[in-house]
Amino acid sequence: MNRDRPQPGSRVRLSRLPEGAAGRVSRVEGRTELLAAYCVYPGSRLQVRQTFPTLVVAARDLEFALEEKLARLVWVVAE
Amino acid sequence: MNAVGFAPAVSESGAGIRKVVLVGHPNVGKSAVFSKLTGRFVTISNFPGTTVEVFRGRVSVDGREYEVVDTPGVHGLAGSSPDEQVTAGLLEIEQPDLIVQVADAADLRRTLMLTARLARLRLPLLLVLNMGDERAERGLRVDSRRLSRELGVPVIEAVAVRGEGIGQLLGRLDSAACVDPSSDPASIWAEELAAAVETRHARPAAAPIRAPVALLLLGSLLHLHNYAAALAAAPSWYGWLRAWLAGMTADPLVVDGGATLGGYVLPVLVPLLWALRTDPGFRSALGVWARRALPGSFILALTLSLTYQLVGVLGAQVLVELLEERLFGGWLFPPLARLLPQGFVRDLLVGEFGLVTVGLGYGVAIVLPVVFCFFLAFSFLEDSGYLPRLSLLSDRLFRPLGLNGKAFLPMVLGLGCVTMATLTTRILPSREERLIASVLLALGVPCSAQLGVILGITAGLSPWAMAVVFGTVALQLLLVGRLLAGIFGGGRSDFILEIPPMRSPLWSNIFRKTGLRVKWFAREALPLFLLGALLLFGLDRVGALERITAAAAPLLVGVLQLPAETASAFLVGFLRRDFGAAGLFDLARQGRLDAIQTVVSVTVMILFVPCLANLLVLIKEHRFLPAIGVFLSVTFYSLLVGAVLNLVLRGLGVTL
Repeated sequence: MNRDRPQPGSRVRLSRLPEGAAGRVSRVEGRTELLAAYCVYPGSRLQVRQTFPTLVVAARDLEFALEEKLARLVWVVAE
Repeated sequence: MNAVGFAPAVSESGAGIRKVVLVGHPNVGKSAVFSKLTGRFVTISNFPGTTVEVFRGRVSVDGREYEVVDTPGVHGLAGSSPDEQVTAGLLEIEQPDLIVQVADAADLRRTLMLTARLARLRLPLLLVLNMGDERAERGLRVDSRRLSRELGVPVIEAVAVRGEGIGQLLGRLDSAACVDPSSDPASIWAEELAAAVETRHARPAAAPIRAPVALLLLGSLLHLHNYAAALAAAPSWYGWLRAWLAGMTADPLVVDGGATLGGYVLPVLVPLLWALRTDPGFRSALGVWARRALPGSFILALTLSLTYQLVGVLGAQVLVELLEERLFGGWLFPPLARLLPQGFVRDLLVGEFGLVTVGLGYGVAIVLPVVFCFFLAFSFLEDSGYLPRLSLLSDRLFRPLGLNGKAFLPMVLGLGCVTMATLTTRILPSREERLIASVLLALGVPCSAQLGVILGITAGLSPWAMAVVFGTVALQLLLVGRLLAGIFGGGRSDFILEIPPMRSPLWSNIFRKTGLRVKWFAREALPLFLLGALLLFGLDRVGALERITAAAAPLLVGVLQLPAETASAFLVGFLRRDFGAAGLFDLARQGRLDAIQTVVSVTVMILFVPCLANLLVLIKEHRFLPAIGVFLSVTFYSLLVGAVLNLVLRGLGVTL
């Protein structure tokens, strides 16, 4: 998957962010209840810690792994 | 331990007894709080989803009785997984007098999201901010007094594993306040509240690489060198140490035990334990390395190698020899045989299939030391936080099997006990995933006792023999998993998993867990070992064993090309697979199995029928007919694989 660092301010899916990049959640397209339990809701800041073998994301001090299918549901505004 | 399954219709509290329910996210320390409150030990580990059942205990404070209920961890109350359904159902139907929300103090936003959901129940609430030590380590501070004022309920800071804050919690169990969240969406409420009470102080500067880390790296290199030398049949540090010890003492046990500890275990384990205890920077770095593909694979290889040294060498060889040959063979059997007159009683106790020689001999002398070593290693890994990292590393491997990385926990727990692991499949959200995981556990995941005995058997052969055994088993898991994934297509749930920080395990918790597990094993397995010995003795006495052996001969001797005596091992394998494996161990040690026969029989035994206890749990979890279907198909499949493996190895003229 192409994971070039997006322009700051651009809206991209979480699954497209490269390692080290961060963004603020702008929209969650589904599984909102599940993702909110991991602090993924509009306004929260996420940072990609690892993309392989599984995507690892940090929401403040909570670190979690999620598969790309779920990450594609999350739109972020890149920093 | 007072483990009671969830019985929704009837509250167990008597008149005047207040019911307190512990609720919280997975892996925030609910079971630690429960244990400290009630004095009853439940398994505590650093892996989300350890508690899959409801546990109940009692506590008395100033003459007032409380029933405390520990629940499986939840992310919400929507009932999106069986665990969540249990907790949500319990809160709705049993209507507790007080909810104690146990939370990770370093994860306030997520905590408050759950608080908002619990608030809708309009039940009295008390918030415990647990693991305050880790919060401080991460440079976070929470104004708990202000949080308490804002929420309108008591907030208690605790470090439950050390018992800190538990006294304060006991003093507040009469709390009767409810949270009154604003009408804002829960996320906004949580964000604003967290921002108001959470501050961050400067983190300590990153620690430089210290001596323990350097020692760990050095030890790991020595470890690799020893393996490479062993494969190339060259002298190694291990070989040198063994020779030196042999010169010091003639006792082979001292030589083997000393060389195993000195050559393999200690150079890595001691620096690792030291670094884990003293260096938060190392713990954090290790946590990152362990979840990355390349360093993660290296750490996995090292972990497997150390576990093998502890279980397969120290447990299955050194300790087994000490117990079987010295204790039983030297001190117990001969005097007992001399004391008893020739006849029925002597045969029953110390004969070929005697209760002492086979029942206790296999159970205590062969299986128990292996189980002890495995539980020790597993408890350490469980508490360290390493297992969730293996979950995410293995997610892609599980996908073709119709599962995801969350299935790693039941699979690895299966290495402890397949029966217990089958219960843990409840953490998997869909029925299809639970069935696939249960079948794979019944088919190809050997329990600790069986695994240790098998490691002990194969350790006597070449490394390739072990590779053939475990490679064949892994291939069957893949093939059957693919097949089941095809049948139940689309049942795989989404993978999302919290990664807890790496922690320095508490030795008191590790030994307590190991002790309880060994006790549980002795209570559950030893009677079955005695029963198996009695069954073999009875069958032998009436001549039925000979007839069974003769009846099984076309299959065992004709198709699998195994000695007819293996029939008794497979027969008791129906009771417990480790019992069957112990029988094979005995045959292999007596030199009655050649290398290919050893590999074939061990492979069939791993894939063989689920043990009696596992069959009962399968029936409980999946109903009678599917469970019997699993039982019969696994039995047939294991024999088929054994036959094919035998043909391939002999056809290719493989030397093991």
